[in-house]
Formats: sequence, structure tokens, C-alpha cells
Amino acid sequence: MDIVGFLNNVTGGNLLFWKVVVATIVFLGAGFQIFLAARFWEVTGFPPLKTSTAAALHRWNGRVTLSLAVLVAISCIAGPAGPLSPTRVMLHSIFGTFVFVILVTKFTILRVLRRGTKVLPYVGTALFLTFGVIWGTSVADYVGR
Amino acid sequence: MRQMRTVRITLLALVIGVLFAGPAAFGENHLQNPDERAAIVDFDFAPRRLSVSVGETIAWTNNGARPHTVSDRGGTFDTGPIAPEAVNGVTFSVPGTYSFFCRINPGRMNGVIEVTPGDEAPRAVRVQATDPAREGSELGFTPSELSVGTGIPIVLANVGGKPHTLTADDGSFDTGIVTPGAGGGKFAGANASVTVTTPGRHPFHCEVHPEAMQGVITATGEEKEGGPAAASQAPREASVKIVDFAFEPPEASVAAGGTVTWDNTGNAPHTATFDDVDLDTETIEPGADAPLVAPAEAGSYSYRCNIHPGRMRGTLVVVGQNQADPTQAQPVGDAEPTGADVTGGVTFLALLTGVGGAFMGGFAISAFVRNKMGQS
Repeated sequence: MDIVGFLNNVTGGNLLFWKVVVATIVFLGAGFQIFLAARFWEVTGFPPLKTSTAAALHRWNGRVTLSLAVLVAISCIAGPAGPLSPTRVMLHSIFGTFVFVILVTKFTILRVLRRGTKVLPYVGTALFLTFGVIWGTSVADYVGR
Repeated sequence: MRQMRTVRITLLALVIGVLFAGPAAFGENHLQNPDERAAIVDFDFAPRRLSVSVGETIAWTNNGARPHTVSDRGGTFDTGPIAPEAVNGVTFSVPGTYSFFCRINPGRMNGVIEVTPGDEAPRAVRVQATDPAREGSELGFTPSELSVGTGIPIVLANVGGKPHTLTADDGSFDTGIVTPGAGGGKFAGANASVTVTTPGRHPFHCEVHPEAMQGVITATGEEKEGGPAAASQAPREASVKIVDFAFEPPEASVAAGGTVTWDNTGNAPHTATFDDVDLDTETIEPGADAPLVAPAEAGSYSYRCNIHPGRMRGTLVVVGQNQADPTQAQPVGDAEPTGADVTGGVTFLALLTGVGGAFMGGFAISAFVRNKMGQS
């Protein structure tokens, strides 16, 4: 199953470009996630939303962001994933894998253990920072070309 | 409950995605025995200069981590994006110099192929129009002096950034304006052809740059009446992919006398059998391909798969000299360049959006940190 070839065709040969666009939206979504989380954890009064509204937005934004992240991840894993050189690509691969680890941790806390939710801000922060590294190691390279 | 279901579906999607994605990381080798092997790396061709004879195939293996193309700057071939670890190649039927590039990274990945004539008389010859759009190039023709048989098409490929022509000093032949690639020659330019019908020495020039671009064609052989139909603006090589059960594209175009290759990517055997002319690939097994030389007479030719005649039909349009290619929305040189041209303006927007994400994230993290410090 030639997923990369299929995605190349779908994007008219602009797969890398669309990955950059979607990865950027994912990073924006990740930022928005902890922005909303900060609101419903009531550590900030901004944005002026009810905590329940912020929580609902957080859930839906998370679903959309995660779906887009999966889309980018598939195109990465199906094609160029794996090389350890240059360092940028290695970091990109490592942190890309790390996202799965953090997500599993988060959903385990939320849905399986159902306790220890106090660590969720740390998990969320780690997830956002990881997405930041992934975005930096892809878009930074793209912009530099 | 509903949230649990959403989480389960998301995780299932992740697992399915990874399972299906894994095996595809290993590209299929479509060219088992090429005459020349070359490599693509991020972001270069290795080697950048290649030399083959007419009829030989060069296969490029993409050893990089990104998709790349091998595309003629004169618009006569384009491998399309070659995925990492995949192989694709080109078989050359026309001698000449070919400036090629990657149209995803047009500024960084460039090379040159010298195709030398084979034992048989060439069916066409290639002349490149160059100008300073290419680093190290000047206004001129490559080659500027050539010898061809009468009636043999001479293909002018514009690999530069300015419009050019190949015009006889006595006006006996003229390609008309051959447009450069988009972005001042950043992408592939157009090509056109002329035929010299009278033996003898024929000085020529570029109508746009008559002083700087001149050359001489020495035509040998007998005088021809009009000569065979020429390459026009259609490609001299075309390929049609066969899937189960269709020809893709169903309507392809090629220059008169050009080569069309049917590549069977399906799981069943197929044929490409013409209805009105005696052309037949015979059975093409899955994974194999079969070339045919297109008719010399311009026109539209229908064909079918003899094994699945009710379901698989296609049309080959043979485009003559000075004819518009009906299968192309626009000339080769104006074709959608893809890649960087489309993407260039988005760089700033992507950075801005990223900064927006970083700002929101940073704001939230600092709020958490402040709160934590306030508690302790």
C-alpha cells in the first residue's frame, strides 16, 4: 500500500507543503488546548469564558487537533520516518514518538486510573512543548529551504 | 459513555493508521535493470552529470527522506514525485543535452544528462535554448551546430528564463515563441519542434535574441516534402498507467512518432489494442510495461484492452506540428509548477500561526506556573 504515493497524488505533489500547513494547525490547536485548560483549571480569568464552556471547547478542540495530528503522523510514518541523520530529523522522530507516550499517559490517567488528575497540567504542558519541538523541527526546516 | 467511545475510536484509528502505514515505508522497485543508476539525496542528485545512449534507461533511487522529482527543464519528461526509498526512471529516445531538476526543490536540485546517439539514425534531435536564468549559462543554443537528416524533427527545449525561438535565417522553419518556465525559468519551460526538409546548410537564430543566439543546422539526405509530422508541443514520451480495470489517464497525448508506454500496475493481465491502426502491446503481465511508437499521422486513436474490452477503453491523441494539445488545459511551460511556487507565500503565515500557538501555550504555562508559585 503506497500511502506516500497516494498522498503525493492527493496533494498534487505538494505533500510536504500540506504537512507543514496541517502541522502548523496542530501546533496552534495544541496551544489553544492548554490555553483553554488554564481557564477551566481557573489559573487565569482569560479568556472570559465559563469554565464549563472552556472545558467543552477543550474537548472538541482536542479531538480535531488529535485527528489532524494522526493525519500528519501517518504521512510521516509511511514515508520518511526513521532516519537518524541529520539531527533535526532524529529529534523530529523522537519527539513524534514521544507524543504517543504522552497521549497514552494522559488517557490512562483520565479514563483508566481516574485519579491523579493534578498531574494533567504537567502532562498537557509536556504535550504542547512536544508538539512545539515537532513543529520547529519540520516547519523550521521548510522555511529555511 | 460517549466520551469513552470517542476515545476508543480515536485510539483504534491510531492503531489502524500505524498498521497500514508500516509496510508502505518500503517503496517498490519499478526498474529492475536500468542502464544507469543514480541517486537522489536531500537535496541533490548524485551524480549531477550523467551520460547515456539513446534507448537507455536511467533509474533514480530516492535515498533522501523527502519526495523528489526528476523533471526535464525543457518539459519533455517528469517522473512525478519519487517517494523516499522508491525508484523511478526515464528512457531516452532523443539525443541531446537535458537539463533536469527537482520541481519540488527547483533552486537546489539540478543536473545535466548527455544523451548520445545510438547506432540507428535518431528519430529526433534536441536543442536546448539557454540563458542566464541557469547559473553559469549564457544566451545560446546547445548545441549551436548540429547535423540532422532531412525530415527529422528538431526539438527546441527552452530551459532558460526567457522566451526563445529557433528560426531559420531564410525563414524556412520557425518554432514560434517557446515560452520559459514559470517564475523566470524556475520551473520547466516549453518545447516545440521544426523539421528541415531541404539538404544543406541552414543558419538559424532566436528571434528574441538574434545577435546572441545563433547556430547552424546541416541537413543531410534527400529533400522531403513537408517531412513527417513533427513533435509539436506534445511530449515525445507519454505513459499510461493500467489499473484494474481502467487506463489512467483515459486520454493521453503524444507527439507524432513519439513513444507511449503502458505500465500495468494492476493485478490482472491487460493489453492496449488499437481499434483502427495495427498497434497492439499484446498481453502485459502485472508489474510489466510495454511501449508502442505512436502513429506518424496526427489524430485521435481509440484503443481497448482485448482481455476486458467492455470495461477498459482509452484514447491516444497524436498531436502534430503547430497543433494545440487537446488533453492539456494549457501549454507545458505554463503548467502548474506545483511545489515551491504554490507554497512560497505560506511560509510567513505558517510562522505567524505557529507564533500564535506558542503565545497561547506560553500564556497558559505561565498562568499555571504563577498559580503554583502562589500556592507554595
